[in-house]
Amino acid sequence: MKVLGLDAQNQASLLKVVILGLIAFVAISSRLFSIIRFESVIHEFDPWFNYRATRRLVQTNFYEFWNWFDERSWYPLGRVVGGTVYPGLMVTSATIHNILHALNFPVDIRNICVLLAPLFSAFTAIAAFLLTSEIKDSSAGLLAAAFIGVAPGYISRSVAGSYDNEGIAIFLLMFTFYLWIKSLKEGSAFFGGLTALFYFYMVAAWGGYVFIINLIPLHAFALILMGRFSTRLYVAYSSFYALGTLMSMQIPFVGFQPTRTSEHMAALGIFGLLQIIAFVELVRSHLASNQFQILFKGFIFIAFIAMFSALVILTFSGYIAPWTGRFYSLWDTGYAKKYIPIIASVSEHQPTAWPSFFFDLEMLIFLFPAGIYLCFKELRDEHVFVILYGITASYFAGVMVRLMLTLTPIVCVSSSITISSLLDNYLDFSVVDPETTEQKSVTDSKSKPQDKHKKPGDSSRSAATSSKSEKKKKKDQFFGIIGNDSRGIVLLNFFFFLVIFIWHCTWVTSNAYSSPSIVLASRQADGSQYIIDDFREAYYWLRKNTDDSAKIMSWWDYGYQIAGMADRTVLVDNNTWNNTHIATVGKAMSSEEEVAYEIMRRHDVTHVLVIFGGLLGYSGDDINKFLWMIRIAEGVYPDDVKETNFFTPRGEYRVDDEATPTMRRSLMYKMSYHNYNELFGGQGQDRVRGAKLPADKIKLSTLEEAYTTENWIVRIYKVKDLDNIGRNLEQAAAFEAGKKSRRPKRKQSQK
Amino acid sequence: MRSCYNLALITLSICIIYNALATADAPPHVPQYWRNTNMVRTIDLSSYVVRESTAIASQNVHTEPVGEYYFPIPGGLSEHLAYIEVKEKKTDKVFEVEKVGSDSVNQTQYYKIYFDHRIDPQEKVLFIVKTAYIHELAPYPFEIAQTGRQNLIYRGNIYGNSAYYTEKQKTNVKLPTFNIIGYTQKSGSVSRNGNIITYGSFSNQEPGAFDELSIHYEFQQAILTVKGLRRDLEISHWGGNLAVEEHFNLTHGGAKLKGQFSRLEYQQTQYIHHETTMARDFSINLPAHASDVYYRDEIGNVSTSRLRNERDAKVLEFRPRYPLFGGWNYTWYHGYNVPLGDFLRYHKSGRYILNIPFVNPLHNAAFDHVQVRIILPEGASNVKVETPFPINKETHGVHKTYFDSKGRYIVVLDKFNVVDEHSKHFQVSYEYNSLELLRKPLVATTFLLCGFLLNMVFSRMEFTIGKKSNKD
Repeated sequence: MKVLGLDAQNQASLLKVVILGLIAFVAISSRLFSIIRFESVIHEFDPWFNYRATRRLVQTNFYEFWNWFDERSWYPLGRVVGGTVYPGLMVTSATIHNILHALNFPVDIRNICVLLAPLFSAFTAIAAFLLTSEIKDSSAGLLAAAFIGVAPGYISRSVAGSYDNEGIAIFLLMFTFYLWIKSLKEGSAFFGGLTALFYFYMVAAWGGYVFIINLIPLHAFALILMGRFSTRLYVAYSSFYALGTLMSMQIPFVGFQPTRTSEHMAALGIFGLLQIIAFVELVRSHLASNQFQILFKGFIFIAFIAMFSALVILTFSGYIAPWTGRFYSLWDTGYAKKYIPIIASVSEHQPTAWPSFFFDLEMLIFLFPAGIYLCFKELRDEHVFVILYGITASYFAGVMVRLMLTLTPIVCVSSSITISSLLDNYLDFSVVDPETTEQKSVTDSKSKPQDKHKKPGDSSRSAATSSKSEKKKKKDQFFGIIGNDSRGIVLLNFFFFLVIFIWHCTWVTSNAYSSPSIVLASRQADGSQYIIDDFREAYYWLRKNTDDSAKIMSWWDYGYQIAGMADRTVLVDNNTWNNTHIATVGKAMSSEEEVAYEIMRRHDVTHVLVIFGGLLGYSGDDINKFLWMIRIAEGVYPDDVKETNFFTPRGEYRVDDEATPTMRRSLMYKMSYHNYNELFGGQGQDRVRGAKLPADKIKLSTLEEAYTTENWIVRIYKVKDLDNIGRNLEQAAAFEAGKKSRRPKRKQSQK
Repeated sequence: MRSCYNLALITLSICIIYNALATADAPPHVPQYWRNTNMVRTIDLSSYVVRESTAIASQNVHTEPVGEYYFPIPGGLSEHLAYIEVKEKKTDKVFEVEKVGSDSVNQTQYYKIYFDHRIDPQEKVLFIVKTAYIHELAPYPFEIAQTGRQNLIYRGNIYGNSAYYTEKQKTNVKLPTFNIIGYTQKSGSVSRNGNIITYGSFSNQEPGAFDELSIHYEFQQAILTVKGLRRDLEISHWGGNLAVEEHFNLTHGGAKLKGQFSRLEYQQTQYIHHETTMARDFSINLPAHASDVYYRDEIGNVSTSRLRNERDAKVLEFRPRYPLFGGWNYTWYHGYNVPLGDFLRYHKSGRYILNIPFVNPLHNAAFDHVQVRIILPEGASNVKVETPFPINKETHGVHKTYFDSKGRYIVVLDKFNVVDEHSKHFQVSYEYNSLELLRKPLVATTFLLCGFLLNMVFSRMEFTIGKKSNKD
């Protein structure tokens, strides 16, 4: 049948292109909720650094960026950005920016940054299509593309404005895996080289590249154990590993890690193993079998012992770094809490709660095991890969909320295999009539266009497929679905499920993942939207009304935002590389004023910024994060800060009348509640913690309130200078207060 | 009537530009051809921009007809001079004014007034010199509390500025308030009536007479200084659209905030906010057909703005992210689209003429520097700019933006010291061939065509070394 003058095959490919285009469109547009509701703005915390770095890259040049020493963060230490950053994201947007500008499209870099993640999600959909087409067929590929396009587990990190490494990394992950499967199937060094190239891109883009460099060796190892060693595997892996490792070492942040850290040793080991096996194969082809057996066993044994002992010796001699803390926390979820509170204090590093699997993946999470099962049924090389990826990623996703992101792609691939198989069987109308089953099914398997497409060049594999399809045909004769009613019920059901799936995804995206978090929305009495913009109010105030050399002390969460939006120097930021420095800030926040003042003077702090949600009921404020500050400070200064002092004798964390004296004297407490009682004309009500504050007035002697935002969410204090006549500031403040009280009442209220 | 006025403005501005080029810096010799018979100077202090209007009746005491008159402005003041205009008193006819150089000994800057005709000997001429100065007022005390009262000091000359002998003269000072803390006492010749202080009359003053005048008074308004304003006017014949974007860099120039800002006090004193110098609500008039209005700053959209429709204008009411106290800064930009037809006309001579106000005044604000960038459509040529007042700098260049191939013509006008009086229309005229409208689609089409062609060639080439495996 000809439509538009195209034969069936061209029609199919046209359809595929159109469908993929639509999927890409849906993937992009479903990520635009936040732009439509709010504006084109960078979200959250880390993206602000990426954005700031990208802007710098665009303003200067690549080498300037490479050598960038950021003196506006980690004061007074500074940060060598070029060497401590994955530059892939910034370089990608800067490249897009420069190309567009060269073509006279003066698109603002902010808009490029905001829309980069949606754009790459469209690419991810295409990568998922390619990968799944390799694993099953292109109809499964289209399903996978559609799933990954809207799956909330991936959208959570790739909405417009969420300008983070993960935004492009998931595409790179999928595409690298696709190229790996391709090179493995074809035994092609060319595709192996491409795999390495995209692996390099991935290394440049995200720390999660470690997943690739462990999963591919794991796949190779599994194949070897299954006795599936082949020259294809040898060529694919060797070309990938050698090129990929060399290239990855070009990223300064990675440097010599691929040869020196334990995370990369598995890949090296498999590389060695493959060389040995290849060598053994070579020897075997030249020797008699019984001689070979002895030689082989001895050789394997010696090689294994030698390699393992080398690894142990190198590790103990310090040449190979042992596993890092972050790695341990992947195996023991309690590890971080005990030893590295700074990692545990990040909410996305918490173990995943089980409902979030359903929340992020909906029905896919149920279809996923079925897909894995189907992979087991066929178990070609690429199916082994899907199984390994599925199992490892499920584990990691269970350990850390953040890693749900790496699980999502494989869940989409695997569930698309399930649904596609189901649809293949239930939509195969060639077996309607039991009498004509036999002849039709023969013609059917030949006329299926996608069957033709997936046929690989390798003759041995196509032989395997044809024998498989032979088997399948036989099964079809016995288990084919005949009744139209049963087809109808199942298909309608699944149609319903798919509709619900899309509905759920859109709902989750719209409600859970599309808030920029620097802007809060609420409703006014008349139902119109009211934007609570306190963060930007405070940051812009800092930007415009403080000295350019002002040093802002705040908890590290806000470091990137202050640097990005207020353009001022910060002490600590979200790049938590120096625990001691963070603990020092934590100590200043949790100590009494005098101690804190000394710390602040030593660090040239001019302003202190705290987040206070008490008035509005914004629960993500600093008093709620305070325990982490105390814990982290205690980890470094166990003599000065004690967590127990902040708990009441009954072990409660309170801010009201029963708050402990240490709590009440702490700088954080004072800064949060300063002047707050007066706002209520008596006792203030903290709406986050549902507590009534102590009635006594909070006196600050070393700090003065510099700015408080409209809803009191951000409070900025200025650190006072030393007293002119050498009193300590407390005495000076007491003296001032004494003088003040003699004045008329009206004046006093002004102060 | 209006076109007549415009024509007059155009001719005037041409003369001014021409004259500005010919300005000499050497102090002019002021020949004493004139004798002022009467001079009334009014200083209006009701806003931060000091506006003076000097009514002069002068008699030609020379033997020949004279058409020129020198008007002096004291040195310190001349840097702050934003505007000068001379009109005949009865007919409101505008006379040309030219800056002619300064006298460094007396620190005086002279302006030369050209009457429309030569005045015969013993004839009298009556005219008004209107001037406006910015930054002439200083807050004192320098710092006030959050709800404190702001006082300003004005310092100037008691007498009217004159380069000629003056027979009779007086000075009126109009203040915005009855709360006058102090003013220069001049025995016998000063009187106060409510918010108006009158000095004089004085008789028989020598040229350049000076006696210090200082007035300390209350001024409970925000003093807004726009350090920089950039106006982008982008003309698109394709969309029939004029896109306007205005970037403001604003400082509250009033008495600085003493100590720090207290939100508590701010919230508790809400009922007297309108009486303080704090600036929080701004409004700007936009053209009646303005659409797609936005209000943003460097870190994104600001949600506290409202657009209100009035009879012949739209009013953008907006609040900065934070209230502005003395010494605080804020920057923002806003923009809108208007139909091109409202401002652009096609003239029979084959030229398009854009006729648009130079600035869009912001209430209570004075501008230190205004830059107007006019981005003409691609292919515009033979561009001429005509302004009703002198411009400090005019630059022509090329600006490239979306779908441009050779770039658009851009004219950049720079002017320092701008006040509300400058919100007059100026004209940019250019030639534009309608065929240029096709340039954009042609360029885009060619670009895509090249892409497809390349793809065609590329897909027909073979890069494999060995035999291509049979895939079909």
